[in-house]
Amino acid sequence: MTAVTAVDTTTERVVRRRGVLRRIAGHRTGRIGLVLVGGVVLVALLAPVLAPFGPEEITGTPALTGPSGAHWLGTDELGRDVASRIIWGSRTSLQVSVLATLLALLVALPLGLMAGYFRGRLDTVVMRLTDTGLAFPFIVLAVGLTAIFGPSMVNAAIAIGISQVPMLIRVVRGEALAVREEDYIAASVADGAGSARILGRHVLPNIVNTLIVQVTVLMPFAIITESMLSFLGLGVQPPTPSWGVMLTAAQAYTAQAPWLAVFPGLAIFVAALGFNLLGDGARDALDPRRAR
Amino acid sequence: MTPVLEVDGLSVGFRSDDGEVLALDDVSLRVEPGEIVGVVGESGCGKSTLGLSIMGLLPGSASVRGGGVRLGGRDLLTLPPGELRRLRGSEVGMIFQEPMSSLNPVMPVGRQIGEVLRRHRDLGRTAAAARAVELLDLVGIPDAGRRSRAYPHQLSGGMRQRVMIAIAIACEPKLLIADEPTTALDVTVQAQILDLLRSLRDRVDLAIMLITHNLGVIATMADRVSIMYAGRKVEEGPTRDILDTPRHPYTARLLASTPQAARSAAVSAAAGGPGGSVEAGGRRLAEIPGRVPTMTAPATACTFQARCHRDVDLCTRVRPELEPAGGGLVACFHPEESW
Amino acid sequence: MTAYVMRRAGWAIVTLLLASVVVFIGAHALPGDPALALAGQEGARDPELLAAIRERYGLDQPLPAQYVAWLGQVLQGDFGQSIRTSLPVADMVADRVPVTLQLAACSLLIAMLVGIPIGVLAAVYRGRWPDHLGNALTLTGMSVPNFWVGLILIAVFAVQFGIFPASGFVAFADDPVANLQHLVLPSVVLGMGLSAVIMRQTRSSMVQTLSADFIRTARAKGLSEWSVVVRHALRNSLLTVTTILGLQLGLLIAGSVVTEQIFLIPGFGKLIIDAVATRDYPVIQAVTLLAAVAYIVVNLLVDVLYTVLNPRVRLEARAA
Repeated sequence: MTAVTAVDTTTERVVRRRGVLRRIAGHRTGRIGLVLVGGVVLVALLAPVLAPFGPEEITGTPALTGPSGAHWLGTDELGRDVASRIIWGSRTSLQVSVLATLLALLVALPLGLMAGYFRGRLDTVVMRLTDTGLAFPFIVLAVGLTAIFGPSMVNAAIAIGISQVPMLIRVVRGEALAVREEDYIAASVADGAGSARILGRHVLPNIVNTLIVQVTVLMPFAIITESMLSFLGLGVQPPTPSWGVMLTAAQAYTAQAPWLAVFPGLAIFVAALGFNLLGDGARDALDPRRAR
Repeated sequence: MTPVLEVDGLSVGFRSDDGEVLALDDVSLRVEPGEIVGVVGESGCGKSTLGLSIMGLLPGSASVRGGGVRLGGRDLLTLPPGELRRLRGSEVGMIFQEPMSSLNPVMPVGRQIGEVLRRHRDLGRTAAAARAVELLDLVGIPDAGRRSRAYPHQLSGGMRQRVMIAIAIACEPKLLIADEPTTALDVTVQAQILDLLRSLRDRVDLAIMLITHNLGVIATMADRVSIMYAGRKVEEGPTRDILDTPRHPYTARLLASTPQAARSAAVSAAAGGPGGSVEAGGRRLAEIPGRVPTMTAPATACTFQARCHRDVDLCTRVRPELEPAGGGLVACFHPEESW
Repeated sequence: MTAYVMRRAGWAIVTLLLASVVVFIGAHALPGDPALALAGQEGARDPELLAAIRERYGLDQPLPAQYVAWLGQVLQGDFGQSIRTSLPVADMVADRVPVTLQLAACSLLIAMLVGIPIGVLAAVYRGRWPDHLGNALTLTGMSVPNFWVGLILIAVFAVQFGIFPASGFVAFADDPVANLQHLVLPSVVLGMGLSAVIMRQTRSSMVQTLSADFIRTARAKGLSEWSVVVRHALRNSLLTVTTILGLQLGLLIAGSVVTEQIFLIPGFGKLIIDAVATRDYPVIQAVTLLAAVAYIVVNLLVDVLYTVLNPRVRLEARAA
């Protein structure tokens, strides 16, 4: 009887999940988010085609020339094409964000799953460490890591990823705790399934929805934080095109060349907004309890 | 003499995911000064909606479709919101089923009573606080001065319901609407609260509209009773008549599903006999087979027909209207002849 | 209640100790030999001097012993000397913290003045235009990089119109008016993200409270809508909003780092960046530890405050 329930519940969940994208697309703000995120991803993929100039190419046009037909968004302090740098910058932004998000998932997922599933001493230790991790504001962590390893794109991604691990562990653990109590877990245990099998086959699939939502929270955070770290000189280093790095340079020319400050910021805003809207859509579509 | 409350052909609908639902369908009710009128039915029959629509507290998804509500001769449904608010809490008070959650958890109870006095009686802070203590005393809370500074969670369920009553009667309203006032309480506490309500009626000539599913409570309290089913009133009359000789089959089944002991106690209490026990009557009326239908439009047939023990063709085609029968009204083509 | 606070404080101390271990180990993972740094360029070539320095600062001791010694010093308020300025780190921090505290207080004030009313309106008019507007504002607040807004504000209000100073800081004691003028733009920048968080939290908390039974009672009393929403609903909702404010301290610290950098405000955040830029390890160590301590202590205080403010929790805590 319980086994039958188990089959029913899992199949039902799988069926429900099949249309994630379609359901987000059916949600008003989710649809806008999908379009924005899709646009940013497309721009990043097609950067060599879309960008009229190379990311570090000195075009020959005088530095700090305003927007014109040849340079839609003007040129920067070295005479590079701002539009091209913003297009190439989308690659940097997405690379760092995806790397950071993957890293956070990679560390937090097994720890959270095991803490929530096995409970006991392991849980206590993991939760204590999590509390300690949460006590360090992520900026302090990022600063510490930069101090240890030096500023770079990869280190920025590591710092951003690691800083989100404690929060993510908490979420995963909570979900694992809840799923653990379901009937079909007991049924699997009774059937003699090992812990690894149960975690992989039953617990993990059931928290995928939560993970999707978490990713849509992590991505905009990572995008903004990457630009901030790079802005502060703690992340991506010039001349690599990064929206944050571009803003650092723009700071000195806000009076003569305001376009230098406006457009990279707008790019960050659009990318982050896209993921945030997508996240809103995902939350409403995947978690009826939190529907607005 | 003007009745305290006149509800005249009131219909109320709810918007829901499955379309329109009719919660009240052409319901009329009268309450005279100092009278206790019972409104009885299963959950979902619309009795709570009736109470809330009199107070003008219907949720946003509900709207009045027709009919009128007059309080002391004034039409409440056409009153502007501001004037309606002035009547609420001063001319009519209401108490609810859940004394646990019906009080603000972060405000001392004395202030919650004083608030209504300051709003409607223009009392100052100290005068309101003093009057709040008097009211706590009136509703039978010992050590009222100290208790007025207590937070709700520091009081028992019965005490909280007494506080609710104190709030409701603070401005000496002519009408009190009591929606399942004792359902969430212990049996002994139930009896105390009912005693309190009765004594308030006697002392300050308070009219009470008592909404309940409990016929035992009705037997010990109500002068007259209205039976509701699926948003419609199906029978009405003096309590004693209804309990002695129910005419609508639904009323009869309700009474039959009430345990024998409670029924005789109820009947003897209604007859003015000694000590009606509320206790035994406190069971849910779930024993009648079948479900209450959800109405989406005014009924075109007898709403009880599906659950009725009699199978008459007429009842499936024509809606029975309320007709005089005995000392009251009944909406049935084939009222029970005798009990 | 005391038992609850004691237990909560006990865990906070455990977390504090763990945090100090992390900072200590982190400091030792940093590249470079502190003895070399202390010896200076001349002394670095002198092995005897290096050995003497190692002995004097206990650098030749095993790590656990060094940790205990370091913790002992830290508990006495001794964070060592800055490599860059040779000043005691404790003094440097003490100079900077009040500046950041004032900035944080101003931005928190702005965030609450913006976030709470809009959150309340969004909840009261749920599903109608104020709600949609609030949601749009929240999403914007969460998506816009605040340092970029800082740059734009400087360009518009300082460079273009000259209404507010572009950067710098004046102590309140020196010139109150100039002090506030210098704080306006930074506070707006820092308060922006926070107001989005407060708005969202206030809305969801209010939506929940407004459906509570006691709100129906308040309406049945004939109270004005203002009284129902503000005196009854908001009072209850603000308790939950308070608790999440403690969790936002991280956001506030991160924000102050970048805000102080843009506006060149000599606060705690600027100290962090300057220390990293110059690899001033004693300062980095102190600043990291203090940030963690602040976070842990503030959250402990918020928890305690919540228990004191909320009679319900007070009872549960007593029962526990």
